Order: sequence, then structure tokens, then C-alpha cells
Amino acid sequence: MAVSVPKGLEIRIFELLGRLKWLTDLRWLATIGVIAVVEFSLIALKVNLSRGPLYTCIFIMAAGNLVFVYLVKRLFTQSQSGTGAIEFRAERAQLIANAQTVFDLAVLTALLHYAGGIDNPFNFYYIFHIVIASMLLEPFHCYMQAALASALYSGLIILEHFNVLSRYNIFETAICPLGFLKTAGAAAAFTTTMIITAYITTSISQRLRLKENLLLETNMKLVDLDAKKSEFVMVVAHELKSPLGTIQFMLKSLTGGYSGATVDDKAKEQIAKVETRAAGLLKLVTDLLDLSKIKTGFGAKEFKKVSLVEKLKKAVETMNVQAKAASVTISETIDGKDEDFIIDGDAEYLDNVIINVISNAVKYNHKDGTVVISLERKGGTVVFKCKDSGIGIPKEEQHLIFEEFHRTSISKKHTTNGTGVGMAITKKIVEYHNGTISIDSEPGRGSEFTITFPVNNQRKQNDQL
Amino acid sequence: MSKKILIIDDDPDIVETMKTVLESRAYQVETAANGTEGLEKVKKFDPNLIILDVMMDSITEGFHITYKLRSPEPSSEFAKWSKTPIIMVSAINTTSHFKYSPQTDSDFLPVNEFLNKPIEPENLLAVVEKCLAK
Repeated sequence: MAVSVPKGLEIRIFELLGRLKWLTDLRWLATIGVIAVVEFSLIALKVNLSRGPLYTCIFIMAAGNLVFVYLVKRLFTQSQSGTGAIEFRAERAQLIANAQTVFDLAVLTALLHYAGGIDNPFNFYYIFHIVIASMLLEPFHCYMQAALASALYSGLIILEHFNVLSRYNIFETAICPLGFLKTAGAAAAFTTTMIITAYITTSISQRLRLKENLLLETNMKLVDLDAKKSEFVMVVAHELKSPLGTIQFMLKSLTGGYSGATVDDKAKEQIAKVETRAAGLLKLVTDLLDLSKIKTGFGAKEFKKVSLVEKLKKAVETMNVQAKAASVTISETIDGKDEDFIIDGDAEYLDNVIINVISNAVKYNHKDGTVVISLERKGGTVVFKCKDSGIGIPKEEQHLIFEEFHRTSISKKHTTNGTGVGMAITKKIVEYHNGTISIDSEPGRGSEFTITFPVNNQRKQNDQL
Repeated sequence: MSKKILIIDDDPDIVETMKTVLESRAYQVETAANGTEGLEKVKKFDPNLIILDVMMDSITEGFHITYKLRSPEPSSEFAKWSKTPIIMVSAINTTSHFKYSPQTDSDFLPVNEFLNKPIEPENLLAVVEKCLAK
């Protein structure tokens, strides 16, 4: 797929930038750690250190980190807004990663030099940098960094041996007054440590990276496929909706006696049945259309102030017709002033949620049943509850009701009239508004749906439902 | 004299059914299958009311017709029908969809009523009566 390549690269850049950010965080910690170790060694261990050069190193470390924080942040905002060629940004990220490693190795070497050179036990800290490098960098670059580490450390101890660089003796007597061969041996041992570390870590991260890429690619293919499917469903549903509407209109004008044709009672009865089935089909198609609109983000809109009290009252008024036919009583309590329930959202979608929940409560209810609705304000959230005395949902099926096309065994027995899409749409809309939906139900006792919406809400840019 | 209604819609079944429903109430009905034909019929038939499908050949064709008819220039050849009520048949029913309009101020409402799909015969007659009573 042509589209997925830059998309995958984009994800990888974000991943790398995340790790780089983590590394800068870690460097602040390291700065504090170095200060602590220096002070501890001076005060508690009475090690012979000179603060001057060490604090110069620490200052350079902190100043360098500031630069890296800035660079990473800038690249991050660039990636977010998508400015500049993607390949260029990927290269930049790699460059920053390499620069950070070189910087760290250099600072570590300088710190070691001023704190005893070969005598200093912190020389194994190079390993950490190689491990981190294997996570951030291409294998080849990681080996290069290992070679650099080897060169820096070996160079340091050999130059100190020949007194090219002055030795800072940190102990009264140096632990390692080695001869040249032994010093060279130590350098060689260190070099092999570096190379082996690079080998082990890069081969592991290489394998992980391969797997990660495979998963990423598969995942993107699936996301793409799902989007295409939703789009297809939307087109099909749209094409189905129009003729179904025409069929309904024609049937209604036939049974309503507008057509001029004489229709006897027997035929009328059958036409009424056809009409009911057509209406059911139209409902399914409308639901499908809503769902795919939501899934493809086609219906994404800007949030406006919406009065839930107004929406609720209207919904109850609409649903009362159906409720009356089913001998179900709807009652509502609003705990607070109308202004308490004005939230940021999309009026049409919120309408959809309220109607859907109440309509289910009516539909899956018994004769002479009740539907109790309440609105409550809790701090910055609005809590909408809808409790019915209906058939209820078994525990093991409760998590499934929010899945597309799922109808519970009990609901199928209760009525054939249902598409299994309504609750999926409801959940998507609620989540789109940064809200939550939960259910408390028991077969035979009824169900209670609790939906919360934050009062203040902002739709994220380019956000899909 | 019975009122004259022009239906502009590209679905022949809808057009036919609407025609029968309206004729059952003794309205005089003329039909057109697309926007161009519709505008010609407006001039020829001089309707008291226009029923317009929003989506025909192109998504906004219905809207384009309304702007032609509601064009505020007095020199427009359709100036005579700038006050003729228009019912728009569509699945949408909010004025927010008028963003296609070059003019979106609140005084300018190109459509008098919306009729939602699927159409109910009773509803159709009620909306037609309401528009003609004005």
C-alpha cells in the first residue's frame, strides 16, 4: 500500500521522539545522580576529588541537555503539524539520537578522567549508553557508537598512562598502577565488552523491531480495510435508503386511500404488513448509515452548547407515543436548574443517544412497566440515568451490547424488531463527547444505563468518532 | 381556481405518488425530472408552490434552483416567483446546510418548509396546505 509507508514512518518518528524525550528526562536524573555521587564521595568517603572540573562537566551536561530538550520539542511540534518532508524529519530524529549518544559518551569520559580515570569504578556506565543506543539507532550506528566508546575509554587510560593527560589520583595510592601491557589489556577487555554489548542488544532490538514493524503494518492494513468497509457500507446503505423511502411512501398513499385505487380490507392488511417490514428495513439501513458515518468520521462536527434538559424533554415527548402503545410509563426527574445541564456537544448526536437509550428501555419492557430517567450534576459532569423494569441483560452478555450487530439472546426472544447497532452508536457518540457509559442489569429485574458527559468539552482537531 | 403545484424530483415513482396524493385533493400538478426542466416549467406553468428534491444529479442541485428563484436581483427572469413558496424534500432539515449559499444572513431563507424522507402522505398534504395558506 502506497499510503501506509509514510504513515508507518510517521508513527516511527513519533516513537523515536518519545524515546528521545525519555532520554532527556533520564539525563536530568543522571545530572542529579552525578552531583550526589560527587558530593557523597567527597564528604562521606573523603575521596580526593576536585569540584572545579567535575562541576564544569556537570554544567556542560545540563546545558547540552537543554539544547536537546529544545531540539526534540521542536521536531515534535513539526511532526505534529506535519511541516517539512517526512523523510527529512526521520533523518533529523536519527541525527539527534546519534548526537545525544556521542555527547553522553564524551561527557562520561570527561567525568571519568577528572575522577580517577582507570581507577574509577563507573566505567561500566558505558554499557548503558550502548544499550540505549541499540534502542534508538540503526545497528550500524550502534556499532559505531560502541567503537567510539572503546576509543574514548582506551584512549583515556592509555594517554593517562603515558602522562599525556594528567592523572587525577582519587585515592591516597592509586589502585591501578599498571604497566603498559596491562593498561592495553584493560583497554582491549573494555573494547570487547563494548562490541559484545552492541552485538547482543542490537540483535535483540533488531528482532523486536522487525516484529513491531510487521505488527504495525498489519494493523495499518486492517485499519485501512475497516475504513474501506465502513465506507462501502455507507454507500450501500445510502443507495438502499432512497428506494426504501419511496416504497414506504407509495405503500402509505395506497393504504391511506390517496391513490384512487380501491383496496379491499384483506389487501390492506397485507400491505400494512409489507409496510411494517419496509419500516424495519429502513430503520436498519438508517442505523447502518449512522454507524458508518460515525466510524468514518464523516459526521464529525464542531461542539456547541446543548441543553440536555431540552433534549430530554423532547425525547420523552417523542417516546411517549411508543410507550403508551406498550403501556409503559416514562417519568423523569431533573435534579438542578436547566443551566446546570448545558454541555458542549453535538445536538444531533446527543439527541440520538438520549432517544436510543429511552427507546430501548421502552422496547425491552413489560406491559405496565416503568422507565425512570434522571439528570444530575456532579461537579463538572452531568450524569444521565435511565432505569427500566424490563427484561434485563444477563451478566455474561452485558459487555457485548456495545458491540456492533450484537443482540442479546434475551432481546431476540423479546422482539424480532432490532438491528443490534443502536447501542454501538450510542457508545461511540458518548465516547466522542469524552463521556462514559455503563450498565447495571439483571434478567427479570430490568436495566439501568448510566451515562456521564463532561460539561466543558473540546473536540480535538482531526478527531474521528 | 385550484392551486398549481410543481414537483421537481428525479425519482419518477416519488413524483407519480406525490402527484396522485396531491391530485386527490384537487391540486393541479405539473412535474419535472431535473433542475433545468424544473426552471423551464416554472416559467411555463407559473406554479403557486414548488416541491423540490434536494439531491438530484448533483448533491446541491436543489439548492442551486432555490438560489436562482430567490435571486434578489429584480432583473432576474425568475423575479416573478421570488416569493413562491418552496418545500424542500430531503433527509436533512436544518438551515445549517445552507452553507452552500453565497448569502447566509438570517433574512434570506430560500426554503419555506422541509419535508423529511420517507414522506408521509398526511404530512405532505399538511405542509402543502400550510405553505399555500400564507
